[in-house]
Amino acid sequence: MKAPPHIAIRGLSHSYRPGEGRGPAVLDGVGLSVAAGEFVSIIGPSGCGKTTLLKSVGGVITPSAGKITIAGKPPREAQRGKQIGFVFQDPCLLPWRTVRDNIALPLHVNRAGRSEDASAAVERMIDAVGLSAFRSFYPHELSGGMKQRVALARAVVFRPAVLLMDEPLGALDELTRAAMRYEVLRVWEASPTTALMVTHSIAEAVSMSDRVIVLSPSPGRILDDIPVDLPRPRDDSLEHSAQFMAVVRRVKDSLSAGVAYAAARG
Amino acid sequence: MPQREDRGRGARRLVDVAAPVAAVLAVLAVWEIWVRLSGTPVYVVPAPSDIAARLMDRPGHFARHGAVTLAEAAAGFALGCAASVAAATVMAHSRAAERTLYPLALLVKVTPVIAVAPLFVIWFGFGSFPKVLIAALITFFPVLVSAIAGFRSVNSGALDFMRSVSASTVEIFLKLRLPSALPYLFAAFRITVPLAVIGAVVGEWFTGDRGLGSVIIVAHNNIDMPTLFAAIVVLAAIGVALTALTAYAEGRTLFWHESRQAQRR
Repeated sequence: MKAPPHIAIRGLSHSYRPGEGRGPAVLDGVGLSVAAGEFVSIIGPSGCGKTTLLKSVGGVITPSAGKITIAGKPPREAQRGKQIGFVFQDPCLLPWRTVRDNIALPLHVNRAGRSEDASAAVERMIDAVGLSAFRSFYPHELSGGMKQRVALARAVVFRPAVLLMDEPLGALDELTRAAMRYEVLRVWEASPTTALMVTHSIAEAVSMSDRVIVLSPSPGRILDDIPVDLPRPRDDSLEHSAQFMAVVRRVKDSLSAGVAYAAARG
Repeated sequence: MPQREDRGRGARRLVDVAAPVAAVLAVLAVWEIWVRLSGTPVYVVPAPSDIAARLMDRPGHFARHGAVTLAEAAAGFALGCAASVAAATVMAHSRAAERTLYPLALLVKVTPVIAVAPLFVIWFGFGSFPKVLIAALITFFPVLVSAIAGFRSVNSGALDFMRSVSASTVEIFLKLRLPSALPYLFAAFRITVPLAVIGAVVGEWFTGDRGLGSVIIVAHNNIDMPTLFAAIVVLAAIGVALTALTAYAEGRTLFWHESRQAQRR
């Protein structure tokens, strides 16, 4: 007996501007199941609909066709149950709020946080992302990496069952980015949620995930579903192992096959 | 060397204050000398010393009328802001409401306030209310336009995040749209605060015996130039004070905004 999937996506298609004749499709019949506690990455060329897929799962946009459930419920209902934590490429912090108040923001919405528990949770999150010395700083006083840590803390402070990340490290410089992978993993391991991450970086996808989903060029379809059987907890020494390299190569081949196929299709 | 830096900054601040003060004093000095040397009669252009003497002579008079004008301008500004922010809140959330109400607001804007002032006097009498209303009318449109733009110019990622945690429309407005609109609102305040004073003065020209506007009209009828100039000086002082107050409030409120950080560097 297999446990039912935590996130189930069936026949997901989407095209923007449906009112003005059907615009070009960005997603075409995507189906995907993610088990509870799994970390799944979605990788694909620009414009293949990765972000659209993630936003549909998060209930931020309504897809043209298809069905998505999170623990058996539609995304909007999961939102209301505070089941969804979202991290975007840009941290999108509120510049007039301090680190502490930015992290506490989701707890102030819908009166979700009972005051004492909430502030304790916020303090714990600040420590977890290593910003103890910066709790009363404003976003403009922080580096890019620190801002993204605040965004991560803000997304998981209310212990959502699902963590959605849209190129969470995409706006960071290369060095910060490499180190942040394992910081994100530590936060995820500490509060085991089901994670779905969109990324452009093959190394990032392989080093962080249990599975890598490869999407074709637009309109996005699932080309490959590659398991990553690497031990956890992981750290950067992993990136030198032959096993890691092998998975990276497989993802790379799969991506270029998709691009070649799309080019042939014209 | 933090100390030297501090001293440098202190000296710079002193120059920042001293330079404009010196410029004003120079203008006054030239004015005084010119009036005295040319023998220009006081009923054409009074010397700064004549104006100062008049101010010193009747300080209570100018303070009382200045307070009336200031109160009318402030009340009108507050009323105009409240009305326009309320209207902008509705319009920012509903395109239908915007399409319906915006042309109406535009009509109010393009109608010269001076043309409506006599009408307000007939409708609302000789007290302060018509002046407050004129000041409010002048304030309304610039604040409305800025508020609508501000409420809509929200970081789309922050908006997505608010939606992903199921924030209500009211929560999104209070926690995201309203603070995002503050830079726009302050830009409008900088324009409308002096306009509100103009509105109050224009109202006072038409009716009543209170406020610096009426002092100016009476002085004009009596060709009492020192009083007329003194009233103008008080009005200018009110304008400077209100502008400084707005700038101070803006600095305190928008400490997080890009414009502030650029200034700090």
